[in-house]
Amino acid sequence: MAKPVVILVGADKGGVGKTTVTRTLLDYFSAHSVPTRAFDTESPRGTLKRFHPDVTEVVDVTTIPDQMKIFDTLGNADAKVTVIDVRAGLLSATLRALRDIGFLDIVKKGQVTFAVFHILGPSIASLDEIAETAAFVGDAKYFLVKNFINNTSFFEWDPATYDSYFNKIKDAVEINVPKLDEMACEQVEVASVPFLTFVANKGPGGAAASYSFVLRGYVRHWLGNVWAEFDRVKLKDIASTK
Amino acid sequence: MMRRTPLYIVCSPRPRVGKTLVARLLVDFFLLEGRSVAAFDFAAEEPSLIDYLPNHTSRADIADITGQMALFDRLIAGDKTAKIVDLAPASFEPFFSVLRQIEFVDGARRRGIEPVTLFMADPGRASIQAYAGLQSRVPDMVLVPVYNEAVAGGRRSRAEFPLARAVSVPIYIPALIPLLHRHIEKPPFSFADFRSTPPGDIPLDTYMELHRWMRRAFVEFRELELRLLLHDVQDSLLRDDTSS
Repeated sequence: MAKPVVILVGADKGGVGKTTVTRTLLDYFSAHSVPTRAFDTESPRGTLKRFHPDVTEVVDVTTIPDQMKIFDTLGNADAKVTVIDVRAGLLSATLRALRDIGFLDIVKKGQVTFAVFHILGPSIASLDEIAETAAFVGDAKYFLVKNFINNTSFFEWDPATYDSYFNKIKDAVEINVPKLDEMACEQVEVASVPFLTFVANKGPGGAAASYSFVLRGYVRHWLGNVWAEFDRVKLKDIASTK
Repeated sequence: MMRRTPLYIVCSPRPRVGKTLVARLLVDFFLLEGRSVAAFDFAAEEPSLIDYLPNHTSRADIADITGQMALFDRLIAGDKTAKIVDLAPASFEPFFSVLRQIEFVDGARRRGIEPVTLFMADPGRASIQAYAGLQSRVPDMVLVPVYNEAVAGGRRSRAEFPLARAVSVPIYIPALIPLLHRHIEKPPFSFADFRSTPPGDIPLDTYMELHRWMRRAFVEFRELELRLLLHDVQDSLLRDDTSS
């Protein structure tokens, strides 16, 4: 049986671009023909579902029935890759819940591949989150994502302090998401389609659209750079269910 | 086979090498051929293209994304209108940087538009480096050196402007005798209008001289258009061969 892969995207702080990163992941897997399903934990109304309605289900990850919906189906879902966009403030709580239900144990035994994309904000609080998360991700692939999409500058960070946090987690890998032009970003939001669909000049449902060639060019260029980061950390190999 | 819509980018990283003159000639070349044409003017100094040909020219500024959309989305529109860009030295780097980032050349070709950069050759180091830079940064774009005989030493520096492909045969713009300058330098001025309705106050021999000069320049453009057409035909034959 193919080994399931679970990718958790989260942060304890809001507004750091978790859903944006999740969207780039779903586009990446779609472009590489990796069957993927997604869970949007912004219950009851999910932002992720607006962009990827075909593969996304909105769940309340704090409730047992919805936890069952995600984790009890890992082995028998068609899509072997499961991406979970964790609502702001719930990353530590979700990891704790995963430990409590024994999920981290099966990860340790190698029955499931587990990756955490921890999206960092520019504040010192984000560094404290790393320390908090570290306790749960010993057997996971742990990615610290600096998201520059909104031109965030990580000015509050002293590099030495960051390094000391970064080094607390063995094998942690840094990913940089570059800046995307504000107007391009906004237009994709308005279009409510995946980045790839926007680049292909299609609307929801695959209808022909008339987005600006310039904006599509910027989105394509940016997405290419994000995917280059995913390639660099060998995400395709991690998502390989063999 | 459908004829491609021309898009000419007239450029140089240096001022006063005759970019605007070439852009003006190109606009009038298309007008005289009865083809629709739209020009885009980057220049900040007057007189610029928009002053000479206000009815066919819009101002362009790509300092922000709104300006980039206004220009590039118009350049790539499938409206069968020939487009001429008069690129000021200050906008040279940003223009080609955006063009490259948004993969403009590839997108334009897929829409039946052939972007051609007419590079005003001059012996200055900045020009030689910029030309080499364009050849390596945008290798899929047709890059044609233009030798303006009024720019001293331009033609002598041919070795510094190597041609990347057969279609890139250089263009020569003949020098205009000084007496004629005052007739064409005061805006607004259209070569096409001048040819169809010559002003009454111009001596016949002056008119004939200007006429000859225009014809020589237009022959250069016509030959370039034919080379591009031939290049397209060869490309399409090659495609047919590989697909059969």
